[in-house]
Amino acid sequence: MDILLDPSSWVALLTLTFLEIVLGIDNIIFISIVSNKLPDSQQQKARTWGLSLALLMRVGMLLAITWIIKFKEPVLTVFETGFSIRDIILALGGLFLLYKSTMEIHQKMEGATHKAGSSKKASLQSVILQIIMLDIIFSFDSILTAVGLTEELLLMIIAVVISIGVMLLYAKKISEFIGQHPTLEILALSFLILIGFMLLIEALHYHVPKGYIYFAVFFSLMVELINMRIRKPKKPVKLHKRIEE
Amino acid sequence: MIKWIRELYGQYKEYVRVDLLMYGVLILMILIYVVISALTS
Repeated sequence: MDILLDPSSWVALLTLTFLEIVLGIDNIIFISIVSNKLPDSQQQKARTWGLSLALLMRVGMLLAITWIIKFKEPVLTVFETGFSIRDIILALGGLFLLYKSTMEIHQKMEGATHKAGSSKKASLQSVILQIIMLDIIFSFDSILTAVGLTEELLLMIIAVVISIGVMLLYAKKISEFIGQHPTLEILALSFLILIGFMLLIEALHYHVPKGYIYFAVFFSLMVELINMRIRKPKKPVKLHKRIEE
Repeated sequence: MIKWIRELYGQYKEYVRVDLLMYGVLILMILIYVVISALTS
């Protein structure tokens, strides 16, 4: 619990929670499409159960990935440099974040929005299972982001719990807020590029103090908050969604 | 169950392909580690 007395831990927690919430909002659209296969009276129940069980799976994944990246013995040598399982995962994870965030930015700016197919009726259990599976699949980037931003497992778990809790309670409000300020979403994706690059160079054995990343993220967010305060609100661009109902 | 998973994959494959590939890589890494640990111990 000593880590919670350290101010840098709070900065890490805030940064990670912000990213988890902003980037997780997109997943809510998929969850909403799946839960709409149920009668109105069961939809909220399915979302709550699905996301709560998905939370447990995410914590399990965080435990697994923090365990795997402890494997530091070299298993591969390239140009006389040894690479461990940890290095390989960080390198591939970094490339994945760079790829995914670039693709997401492209999708949001220039991509097409797909219409969800006609929703067949489904049972409550089947919908909960679908929500859990989709959330697990879509949470891979958020797990890598957590690993890139902090080494403290407790902070990662707290950020994931807060973000899922916030999404369960305020998904609609946050979604509307981001709709009014799409810059926040693009900034969050840009931060993923930063984190992806950091994971990549860590895999090449260059250590980057996490404080540099926190500074970049906070400075950028402060500039945007000032922007939001002092500039007259205009009609924002509408980012393209991957899928809509 | 397999049929259900295949249907689900068919519905969302466009959005989940790369993420699933990463999961595959992760599982492969764990298997490699387990095999190497078993061989060297």
